[in-house]
Amino acid sequence: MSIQFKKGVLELCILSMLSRNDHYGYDVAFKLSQSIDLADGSVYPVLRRLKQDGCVTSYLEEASGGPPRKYYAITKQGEELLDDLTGEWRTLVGRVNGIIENGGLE
Amino acid sequence: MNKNEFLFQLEGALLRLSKSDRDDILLDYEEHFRAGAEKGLSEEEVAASLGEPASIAAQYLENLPADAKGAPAQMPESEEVTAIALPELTDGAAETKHEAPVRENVNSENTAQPVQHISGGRKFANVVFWFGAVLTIIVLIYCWIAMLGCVIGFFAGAAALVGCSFFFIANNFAMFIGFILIGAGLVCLGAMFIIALKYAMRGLKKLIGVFKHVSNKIMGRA
Repeated sequence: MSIQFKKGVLELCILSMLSRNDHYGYDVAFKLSQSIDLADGSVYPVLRRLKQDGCVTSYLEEASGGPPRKYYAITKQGEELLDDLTGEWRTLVGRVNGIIENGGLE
Repeated sequence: MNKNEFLFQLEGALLRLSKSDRDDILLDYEEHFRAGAEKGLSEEEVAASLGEPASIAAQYLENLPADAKGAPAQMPESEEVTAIALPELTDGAAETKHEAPVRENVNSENTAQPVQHISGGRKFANVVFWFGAVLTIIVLIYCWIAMLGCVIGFFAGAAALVGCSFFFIANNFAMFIGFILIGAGLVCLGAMFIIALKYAMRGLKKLIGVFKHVSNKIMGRA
């Protein structure tokens, strides 16, 4: 997968994960890198960008026997973006599948 | 590479960002190393899975234009608040504008740092203030003649009217003359203003050019 494509997909995946549950950073990075072949390190810049755009917030929570952990949560705006991205993704996948099956001919 | 090497390289690649942004980002990775260690991974393994610090830093720096502009202010963290030192033009009112609400990440001891970011609103206020001050000065310099003319015309008209009420002889006609003189004074005012405007515009255009050049330099991103 190309870098640019992965980044768009990353936003979608991160928001998707967070819409189900709050996660801490490592969790998001680790789980995603297991499914999509990317460096864990590329998750945090996307998280930060999402936070700056108001789609994600973070908070600190006490962890047992250690310093507080930073958890990420989705915001209402993030949910809306997730809806948009999911829609775009599904449309894209549908169209690409159509091309693959029909060889581009309708 | 181990954790310290990784963080050191990452920090070095992020020097373009403000200290508070940089520290915030590094915190994420420190936590990542910590969490990895809890899962039983070695520092080398975690560093390897993170990827190259340089390419990670590049991704943060790609976002930089949004940072510099003071990205959508949904989250307080998106704005950078660092005051510009404009001693000759900031008065008390502008000063308080620069002392914006403190965000959780702002390191207020870093006022000695060169200006990194100004939020859009504050930039605009700066621009308006500069512009207003310069404009006023130009108008005053070029238009003192006009102002003099206006004052004379106006006073002549007023004096005529007052004189009429004093010498209350041929009242109607005198009042009429008085009003005409006031009207003439106001017309003088208008004419002088228009003439003065022509001179002021010339000077203004020149100064706008200079001002744009200077403000680009100050804002730091021509």
